[in-house]
Amino acid sequence: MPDPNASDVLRGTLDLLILKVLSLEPMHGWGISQRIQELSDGLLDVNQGSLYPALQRLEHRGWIASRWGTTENNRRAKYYRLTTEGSAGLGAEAESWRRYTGVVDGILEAT
Amino acid sequence: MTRRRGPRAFLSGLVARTRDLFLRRSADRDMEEELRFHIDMETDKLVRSGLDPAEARRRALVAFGGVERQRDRLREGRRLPFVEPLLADLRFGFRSLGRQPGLSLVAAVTIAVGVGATTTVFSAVNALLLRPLPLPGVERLVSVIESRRGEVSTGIEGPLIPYDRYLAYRDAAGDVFASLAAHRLDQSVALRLPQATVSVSGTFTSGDYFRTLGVQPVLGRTYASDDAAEAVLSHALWTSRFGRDPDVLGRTIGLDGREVTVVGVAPAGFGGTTLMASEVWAPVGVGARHNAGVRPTLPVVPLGRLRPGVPFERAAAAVDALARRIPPEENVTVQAARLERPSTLPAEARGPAGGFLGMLLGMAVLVLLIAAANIAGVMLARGFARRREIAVRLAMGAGRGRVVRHLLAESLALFAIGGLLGVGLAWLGTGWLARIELPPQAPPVLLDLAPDGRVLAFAALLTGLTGVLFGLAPALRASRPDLIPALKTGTAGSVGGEGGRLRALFVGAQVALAVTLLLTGTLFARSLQMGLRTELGFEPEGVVAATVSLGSPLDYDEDEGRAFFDELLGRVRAQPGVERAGLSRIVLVSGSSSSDNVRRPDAPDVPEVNASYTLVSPDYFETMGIEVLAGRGITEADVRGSPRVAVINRALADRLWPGEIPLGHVIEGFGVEAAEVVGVTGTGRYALITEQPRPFVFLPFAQVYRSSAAIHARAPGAEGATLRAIADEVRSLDPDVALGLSGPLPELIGFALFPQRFAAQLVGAFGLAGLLLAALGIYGVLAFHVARRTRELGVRRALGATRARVIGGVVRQGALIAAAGCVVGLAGGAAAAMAVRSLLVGIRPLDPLTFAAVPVAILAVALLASGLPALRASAVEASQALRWE
Repeated sequence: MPDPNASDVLRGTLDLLILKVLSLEPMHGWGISQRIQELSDGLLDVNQGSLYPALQRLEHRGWIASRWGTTENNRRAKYYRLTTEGSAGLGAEAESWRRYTGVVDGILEAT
Repeated sequence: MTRRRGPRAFLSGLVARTRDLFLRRSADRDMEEELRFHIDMETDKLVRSGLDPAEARRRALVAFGGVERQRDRLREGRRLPFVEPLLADLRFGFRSLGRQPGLSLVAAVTIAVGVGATTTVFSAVNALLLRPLPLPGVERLVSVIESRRGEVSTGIEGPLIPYDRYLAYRDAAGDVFASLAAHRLDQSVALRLPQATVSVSGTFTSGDYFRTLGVQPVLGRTYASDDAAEAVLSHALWTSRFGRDPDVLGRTIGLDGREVTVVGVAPAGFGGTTLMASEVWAPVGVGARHNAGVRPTLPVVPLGRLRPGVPFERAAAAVDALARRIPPEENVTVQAARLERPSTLPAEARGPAGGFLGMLLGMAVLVLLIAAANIAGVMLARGFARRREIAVRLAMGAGRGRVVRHLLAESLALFAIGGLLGVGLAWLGTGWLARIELPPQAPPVLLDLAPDGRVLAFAALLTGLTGVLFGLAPALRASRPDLIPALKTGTAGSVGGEGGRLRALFVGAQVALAVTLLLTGTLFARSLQMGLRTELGFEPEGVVAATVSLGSPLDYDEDEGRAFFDELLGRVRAQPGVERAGLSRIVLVSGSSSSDNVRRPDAPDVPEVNASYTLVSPDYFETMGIEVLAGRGITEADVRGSPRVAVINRALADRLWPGEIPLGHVIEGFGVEAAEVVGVTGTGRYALITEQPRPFVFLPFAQVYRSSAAIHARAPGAEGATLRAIADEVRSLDPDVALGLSGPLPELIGFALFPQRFAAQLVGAFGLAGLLLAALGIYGVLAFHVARRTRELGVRRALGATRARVIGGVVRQGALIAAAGCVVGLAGGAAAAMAVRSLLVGIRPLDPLTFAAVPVAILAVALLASGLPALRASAVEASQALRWE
């Protein structure tokens, strides 16, 4: 069951989170959503309706690539992995995210 | 967050989407499987947490947020932004065309006629002007073109220079040319085969010609020296004369009286670098006039391959500098030289041919525009008939853009079908063009007219552009949201009055275009008629001509040559049916000429005049019917050793002695120091039908000898027999001498007029198509109009209008449209005629008869086309209209 305190992933950060998860290891779509939940200790819930369009978008952009593979339970699943361009993109996006939150924090802490 | 998407990312997205477009089905399956996997995993997870499987599945689906929606979103994401909606619209367009297959087919054929005409002409433009020669590395091939003044002659490849001069270039320009060859096409070479001696077109070349062009023989080898007694046959000649016998290698044939051995066969489709296809190649040494031990002096045009890395401009500058440094031969000054890429047409013919083809293309485009205007009218009517459907769609919230796109797509679908059919027509058309019968004595022409990628791209672009242009107006008009009246049933009277006007405008435009087309077409046809009759300066009817070339001085020196021609002339004069006969160096108006600068030795300040000339025997003027205006012609009195004389034409007399009759004065030129002017003729045509008035000189053959001449005989009613007799007499005098250009004079001139004649045929066909389409347009708009006004007409009839009044009203409408179209068309025709006036012979561009007859004809056709709808209108009964609700 989803954690009642879980919030939806913020618009615009989903791509960043997908890239981060895929930078750890190649993964199928469902696995990505589970991994984001785990890594956020159940606080972040991926809206499944936006997950696949995001994957499609990233793939068209050439940042991730996909191929069919099999899971441990021997089921066919589409695995996504980060491309070289994608890992460069992840670095840039992460950097810009940190700058952004830093600025927002600064504003919020202004007295 | 920064979301910069570089061009690369954009491209990779586009590639992915394009791939998805084609692999849609498998992409759909992949997507299904991926989503199913997700749901299954989610369900498993929920089951593991203790839910029963059905409930788990339900929740998984809910969490997922609707599989159907997801699927649509993903599909949307896969789409190409522009192409896919367009394809969908086109599918829609095809479907709605399919609902009225008959009408759609007629419309598509109409477009096909326009596209076919345009594409056929463009194929010719492409083959003659745009497509490079099919030779390897053709972009590095260049001809050396000298600007020469004085006694010069020009071959089809360019201005000819002496062989020694070519050698000087070759020795000095080794740093810019990888190799520099020389060639010269001779349109009539005597080829002696075991069976017969025939006249073929042959090229005499330097030894490195084939290597320079990069042409490999299909059989045997090529020759490599400048004067080996060897020859290479064209594939066509090998096929026609030797039946593709591989044993042809090693055989001996005669070329202009010299024995040569066949060493190779050129590949099929190779005919040299000019439009006139060569049938045999031999070293210059074979074709040159040898004086024992003296170097070959055959005039040639240099043709080289630039060294890799040498830019065109640098090579051109080097060649220009060389041209000024190498001393020219006597009587000639060389002002400059330039490089020219060899092309199917010689450079000086490209301009006129471009103008000529451009004009044909313009006419074909007119046909296409008429067809498109016709279709626009049909689409407009169709949009009107469907205005309720459209209004409903607009009322239900469809955006206007969407409706316009749908209607436009219908036009585009129509044009797509029409365009495809049109390309098919062009395929047939070019096949027909290629098979057009050239006069038998014309040299073979090697021209591949088949449409290639460029032609197809042109057709596609043209069709698409016309489709959008002419589909937009009806679509915009039909989608105008005047909902309320359209939704009310039966109020057919007033709505779309403006649509009717727009349609009338289209029909008026068709009429205007058809008038323009017919005017130019008629001018062409009449110009052809006049060209044969007026301004030639001689009477070709009943005259035959045959060119006899004795070849080199080794075979015939001057005395022997004169004896041959005298004997031949005597025998021809004795033929039954021959009234008179004479010799001339050239056949007039057959395209060839030689010229030199002529001056007055007594008046050095009168500027020199460049004049063409021929050498003629006594009786030539009488045979040709050339009128001598003052003095006398060339007679028996003018022999070797007697005072040098000349007969000049009026154009030359006016330039050298303005306002005087120059009899007794003296001219200098053509290697003659002083020739007394003994006669003046009128100014006729000499080299080309379309030439500007040209100064011309006739010199006595007896005083200046050449080894080739054309025998002319006036034998009205016995042309064929006389030609056969000439051929027989030539053969009996010397079987090795071949006849060159020969035939009845009107036919030989007809060859000069061939482009015009051909154009007149084509233009006539275009004009007819345009006229028919315009008539159809008028008929369509009026018939539609009448159908729409049935009720109004019925009311009028009920109120007492006579049938005649009703008919008059409808016909008047048709006549008004046609008259307005005629006025615009006359202006357009006048502009077009002025633009092509250089191609018109013997007729003024604004010929009053043509400009009166064409509008009358068009108006007559317009009235005919209005007749049927008018009759139908008059048949409307009052009761019919009142019941019509």
